[in-house]
Amino acid sequence: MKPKRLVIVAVAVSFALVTSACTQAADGGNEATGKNLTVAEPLDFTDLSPDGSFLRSTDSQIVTLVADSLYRINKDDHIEPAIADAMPTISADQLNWTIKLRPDVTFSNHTPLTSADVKFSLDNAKKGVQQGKLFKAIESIATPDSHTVVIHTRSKNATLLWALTNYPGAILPKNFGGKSESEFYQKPIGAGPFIIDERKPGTDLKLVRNATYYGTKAKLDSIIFVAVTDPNARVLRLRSGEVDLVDDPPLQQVSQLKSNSSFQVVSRPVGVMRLGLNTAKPPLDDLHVRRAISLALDRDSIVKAALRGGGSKACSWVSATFLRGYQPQFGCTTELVQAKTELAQSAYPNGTSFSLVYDSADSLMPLTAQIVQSDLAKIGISVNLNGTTNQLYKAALTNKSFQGRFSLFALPGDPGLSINNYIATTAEGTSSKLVPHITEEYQQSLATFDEAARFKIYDNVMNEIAENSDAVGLYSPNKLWASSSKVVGASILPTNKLNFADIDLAP
Amino acid sequence: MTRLRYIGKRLLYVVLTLWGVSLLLFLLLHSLPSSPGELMLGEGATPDQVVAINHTLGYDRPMVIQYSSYLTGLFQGDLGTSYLFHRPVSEELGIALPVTLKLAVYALVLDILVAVSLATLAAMNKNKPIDHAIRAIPLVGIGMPPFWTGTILLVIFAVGLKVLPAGGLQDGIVGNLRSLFLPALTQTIVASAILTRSLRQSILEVLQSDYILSARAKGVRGFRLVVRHILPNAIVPTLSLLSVLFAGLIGGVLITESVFGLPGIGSMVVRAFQVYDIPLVSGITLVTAALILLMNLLLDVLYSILDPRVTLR
Repeated sequence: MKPKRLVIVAVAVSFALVTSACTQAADGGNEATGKNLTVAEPLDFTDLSPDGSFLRSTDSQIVTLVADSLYRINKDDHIEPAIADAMPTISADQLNWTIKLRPDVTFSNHTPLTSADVKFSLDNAKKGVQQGKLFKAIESIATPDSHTVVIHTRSKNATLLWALTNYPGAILPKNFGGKSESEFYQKPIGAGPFIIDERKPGTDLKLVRNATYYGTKAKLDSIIFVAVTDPNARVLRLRSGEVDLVDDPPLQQVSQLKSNSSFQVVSRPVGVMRLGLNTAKPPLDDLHVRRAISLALDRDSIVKAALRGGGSKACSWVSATFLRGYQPQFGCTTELVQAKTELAQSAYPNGTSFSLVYDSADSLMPLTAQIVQSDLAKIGISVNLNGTTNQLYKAALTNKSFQGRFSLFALPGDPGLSINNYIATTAEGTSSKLVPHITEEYQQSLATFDEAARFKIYDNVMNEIAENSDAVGLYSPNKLWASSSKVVGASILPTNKLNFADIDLAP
Repeated sequence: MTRLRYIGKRLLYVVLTLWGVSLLLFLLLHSLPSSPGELMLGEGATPDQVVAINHTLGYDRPMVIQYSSYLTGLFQGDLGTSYLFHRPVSEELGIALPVTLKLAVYALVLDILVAVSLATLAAMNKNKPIDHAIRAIPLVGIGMPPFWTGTILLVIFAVGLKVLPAGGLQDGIVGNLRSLFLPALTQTIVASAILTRSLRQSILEVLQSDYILSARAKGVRGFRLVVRHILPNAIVPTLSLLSVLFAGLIGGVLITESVFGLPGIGSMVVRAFQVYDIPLVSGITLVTAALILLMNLLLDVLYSILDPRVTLR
């Protein structure tokens, strides 16, 4: 027997491994029967509590599918009743909100949903570390009967209705259905269009249609979410046919996908990427320096380069989508002459420098930082780029040790909710002197139930933040989803979530 | 020294090394600029909430107390509770570690098969074109980053030919074999060049030895000569290389698992670092270190069994 036989044996074993691996051609994650959608998400699911899920959009997406709130924001960005039977009746002093519940709502375990569940859920939401502030206005909740809830607020609060549409206020069974809180959140139930069928930690999560859902039932039989952290790998799975829908495809591949008839891309601008300037740190404690920075930025170029056109420039702290016709008064166009004049009035007429910290692994921040650096060099401001790990970036923010930083913040609904966040985080993590004044205006907006008048206050607040230039709006990036052409009816809702309940699969 | 005494002594070293690793990890993770409470809750949290979380996690206690409590837990098999998943770290590792081990072992098997085949072919055809090709081509693999190699393999086998899954871990033996094949091949492409070159050199040295001459004189030829006389002797020096390769494979899964969407410790440690999950990072590092140390020990013992000339000290 020749020595080459050994090679042949080794090759044969390798071949056996390969062929056994290749047997049963890739059949993807889809099940054989029914309308089953497979979705690739960038992260797996860690915290499915309504409040904790605020930190990760993948988690909050599941919460919105499993548990409805009293109200919802519809496709046209208007509030409509969900678990509530009608819009609330507000007392003459505007402190008591009476909400009737639909009589036909049950949780997915067939238990009727009652006012006791609503009281429990909202009391629980108030304790939330992340978004409890949305519900802080609630002083007490009375339940005169099993289908009526009366919310008593400490003071007038025109934005409470928006808070009641949000997933941190999702309605859950009283006392977590008899389970411990941590046990319940491993596989939470609610009165949403889907039920969590199976959750494999670290890998995937399967939802099935809630057959007892009170609203329009979902068209899909099931949705399997798989976690694929690498963005290119997510798109490869879409191209291989293993998944039908991909969250957050890389910008570089969007035009390719759009030009291929086998795929489609849906997008919607979400949130605002801001340049936060720490007003407690020189030279950024100088108002003229900050204003010079805002005026020198070429936002259109940033949108073109960093977003590849996949978004729009932003000149306000809250996304223009939620501001209803707001016209920015300051910092929306590049004014180099004016920027130099501002700098000349500052304590640093001959130029200055500051450090800009950003997450180097983020898909947008590094390129944005480079463009900001090049824009500001034109007026004599030198930017020291400090790209760092996500962990150290967060540390710099929490310690408030940074001078300049980026932040992408997206809270849908009434801008008052976002302004509340601006105040709570003391202006983008900085110590803005503007906060006490804006707090007053925010309180005034809460007492203004007339929507037009309230939005006028918001416009004013946006102008003041822009003039103060401590949190400089740069752009609104598009939220992107890519899908195969057999996915029908996918669109991104004003809540920034995909409309899974309305999606269908073509045969 | 008897083999048993040697193993006992090495196990003691393993424990001491792990203690050193745990101390270093503890000091490193506690020297980060923010507390877990601040990082877990984000900017929206009030100072009171941060203090409360740090208290719940025991982060406000003196470091010596924290470390001794951590060490006591370790001796009781308690690696702590993951902040990210809100479950015991041991449970999380119980889910992720088998995936990584399967991948590492699969890659090691493929690596050995590829290296044995190529090294034998190269050594038997010394200085012929096939030898030059075998020595040169696998070097390309070393030069290619695993995420790139993985992506190319996915494009060919999953997107183009559609014969293998584009990621994830399928159930069952066949499912495992199928879904881990491309990740294992990615690792093999990167690692096989080193093993092939080392084994080829070893085979060439064995071919010069007297006992091979003697075996040939007795009429032993071909497959029998390679399997019975050449490989058992040539493979011994490369055993020590296997432990280095295994450590490399475990390290390499960080990227490979991310590209192929595998739920192993590589993917898990990336997430754990992002959210400052100290117990999970510590648990993964300690278990990985223990695995590599035990693998080293196993191979050293195997070395002494395969080559009686080797003395254990």
